[in-house]
Amino acid sequence: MKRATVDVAVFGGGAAGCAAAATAAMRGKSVLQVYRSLGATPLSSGMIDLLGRAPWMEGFVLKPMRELAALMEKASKHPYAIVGESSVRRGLKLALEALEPLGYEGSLEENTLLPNLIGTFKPTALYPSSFSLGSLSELAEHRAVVVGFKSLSWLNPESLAKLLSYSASRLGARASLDWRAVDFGSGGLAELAWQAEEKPLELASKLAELGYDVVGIPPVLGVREHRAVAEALAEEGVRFFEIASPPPSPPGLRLQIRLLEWARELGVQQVRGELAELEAEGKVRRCVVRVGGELVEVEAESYVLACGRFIGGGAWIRGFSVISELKYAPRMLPSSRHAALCYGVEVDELLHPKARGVAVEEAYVAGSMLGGYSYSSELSGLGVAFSTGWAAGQLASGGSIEG
Amino acid sequence: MEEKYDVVVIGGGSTGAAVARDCAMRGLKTLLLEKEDFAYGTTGRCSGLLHGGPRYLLTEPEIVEASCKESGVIQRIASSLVFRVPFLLLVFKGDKYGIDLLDAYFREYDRYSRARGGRPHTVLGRREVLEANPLVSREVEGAIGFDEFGVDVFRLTLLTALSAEKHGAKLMTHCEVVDIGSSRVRFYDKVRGRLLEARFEVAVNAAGPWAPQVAKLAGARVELRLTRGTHLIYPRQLFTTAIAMQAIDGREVMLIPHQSSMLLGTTDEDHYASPDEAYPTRDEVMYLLQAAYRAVPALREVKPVRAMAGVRPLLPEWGKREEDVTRGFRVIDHEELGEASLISVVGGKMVLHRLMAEEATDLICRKLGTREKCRTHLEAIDGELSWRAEPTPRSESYCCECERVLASGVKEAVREHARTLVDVRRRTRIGMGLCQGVSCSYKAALTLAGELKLSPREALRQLRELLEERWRGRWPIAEVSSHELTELAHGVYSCLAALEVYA
Repeated sequence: MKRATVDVAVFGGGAAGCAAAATAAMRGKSVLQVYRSLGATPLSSGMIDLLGRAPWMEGFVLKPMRELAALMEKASKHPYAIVGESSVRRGLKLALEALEPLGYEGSLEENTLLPNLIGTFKPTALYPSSFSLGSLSELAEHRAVVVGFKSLSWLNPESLAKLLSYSASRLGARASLDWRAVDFGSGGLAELAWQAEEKPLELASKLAELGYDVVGIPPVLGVREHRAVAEALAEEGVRFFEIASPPPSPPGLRLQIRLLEWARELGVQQVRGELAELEAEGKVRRCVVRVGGELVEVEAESYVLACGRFIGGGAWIRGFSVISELKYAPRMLPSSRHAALCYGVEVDELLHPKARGVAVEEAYVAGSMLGGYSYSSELSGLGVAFSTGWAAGQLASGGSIEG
Repeated sequence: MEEKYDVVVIGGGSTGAAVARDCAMRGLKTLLLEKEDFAYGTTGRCSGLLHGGPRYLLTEPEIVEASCKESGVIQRIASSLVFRVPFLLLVFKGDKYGIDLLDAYFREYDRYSRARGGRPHTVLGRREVLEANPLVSREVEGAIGFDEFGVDVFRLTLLTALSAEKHGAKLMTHCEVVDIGSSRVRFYDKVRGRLLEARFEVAVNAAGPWAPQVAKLAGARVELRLTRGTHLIYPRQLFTTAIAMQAIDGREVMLIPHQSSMLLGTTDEDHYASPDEAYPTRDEVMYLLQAAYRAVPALREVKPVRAMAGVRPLLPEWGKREEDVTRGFRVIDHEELGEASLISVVGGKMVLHRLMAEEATDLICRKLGTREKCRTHLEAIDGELSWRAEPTPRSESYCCECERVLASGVKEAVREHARTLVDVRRRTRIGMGLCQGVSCSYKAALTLAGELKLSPREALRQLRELLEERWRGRWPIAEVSSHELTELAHGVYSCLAALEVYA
């Protein structure tokens, strides 16, 4: 069997895995990052939520760092409580550094309410700057129009504009939005994004013709060339915002692509493969990955597991103690926390998982593979991923996560 | 001033729709009232078979004969909705009925089955079965091959109702009858929120499992024996032949390819709660899986997307097990209303709905002194199927990728009396495929909001209702179903939309 010897082995190619791999690499370690396929990160809207809802609050969390402190006190097994506030700050700072080429903005102290194609606004901490003119506070200032595309025949811009205006009013804000449809390109969101990259000027002129101060479009700026498309729009004098969408979501894809590229730039060695065998008792005794058709034994000083939850597949890695049961509530969207979606690995204060009752000293778990929190009901997905990813990378390379 | 009708039909299932159609075709001024939507109740939760019912052969041969004959009729009047389903009835060691007995039995069934174009049965040995379907357990000893016919029950019921409309009937869905007086019915339009009245000569109670409640509104009495039938639904077809097998108690359980999915069912359990509270139980789910895993072990690798339970409105028979209760029907002439009449149509099987309607309408015509003869078996109900049009290549994106529905399909559903997003699902199959509405619900909501001029508040409420309605079918099997899909659903509707904050 082939053998690979590195300082740190990271499993998982999402936000948590990339943050851990990059952190360890920045600390001078040789890092191997193995990822199976794309998980939940590229399905995200591209927003980095820190904390958007809390069980003790009716509506949305507006001051995430403040509520985070309360959360850490109330839920000691929550990943945020385990890694602590300084890890959260360092992790999110790392995210901003990594995503600098994409242009991210926002604040950890104050959430921004941003629109989506379902017709509501949600709070988030950090977001692509292409979203910023759509925030609730910006919309109060401008005369904006929601634009549909002819080939997205299901996207009735009138319905969307009215839903968003209504949702704004539910939050005590005012957003009066007009609506228009333009004839550009063909196919669904992903196809339109490719065509925007090919014909940015055509898109720009069609949006400019509408004659509005601010134009809200579905996220069709492209996946790799979105900055060039944005520049083309700016040249035509179009001020715009992208409206976040469910998958396929180009901003989520941009985020995923950039994170892998960023880790690579920092010297992380990346391979597509999957964890075939992981034997752990007190320490990692044997770790084998399957790359292509071949089995490779990985020998590392530390191992970071950031394999996601159900979508990523981390929930199906056996052998570790888990938190919570796979029991669901009779309502799909209950108001309280969703127990089943808190399912994941239980860790100690240093992110070590337990196997057969004993902490595995060389292993660290990060991201949504961790149990004890439901990112969808508290809106904390990528926030936890970057915080625990940074912390795992730090610990796996012999560093500390103390403030 | 309220309108006056010859006939008011209460119930928009397969039977009610067929009664309305028959009455309208015989020139009677007809109103159909449905408390939810067409095919909402028993009809929409059946196996989707025009079932000949080989298992009733010993006890009720007349039901088998009528079912086979009616299956033939429906194939003629709704040919585009009906598809042949070749069945393999598998026989294993330890089964209640052996292959020789079944062979003799099916020789008898062939005589009836001919009436609907069923081919004579065949007897397959072990090797032939495994060649025909390699996913069947290698323990199989043999099988009987025979034909059944499947049907899209949603379209069947809807097109029957639309045919009634074409012949002059008025259709009102989401209208619940709250009072039946002498020659006057009061009903509540739940969508518009208003109370309405209509006058009639004859009221027809075709409310299926709700028939006792409807009769009670008129001071009349209808007794039924309700039994619950549960199905599991798989999001893809593993094979194109259906499989019938014997469950642990000797009952027949079937695995039936249907549309883009596959149904596993059904159970037959006495149901004492309200028909509104028909939910699949964990026991029923495990019972079905036990039978299916024994016959098709590969099924363990496939995750069902949901379970559904319907309630059979059977005629009341004491002292019998559920599966032995008669599948016959009755047309009851109540006398409680004085000058006007109330008729209840109860019992029966889905495949018999047109025949049940014919007998009820014959009685209505005698009462009203009309001599028109039934023509429902002669005229086709299906016209063009415009709701699932193909887009021109790469030009338009689908509203629902799983079931290939365009926004125009949603608009078409509105012209077919869809008043809510869940109604759109019944007409287009949006939300019934692999993703169970995760990627299409909001798109359909945006389209429907524009088409029906829904208020934003109502649009979001309906979006949530569709998601919750889908979840009610997923919840009983959530632990064996796809957790990935559940995570995705929460990612979209909780994480991105925070829908529970708004609706």
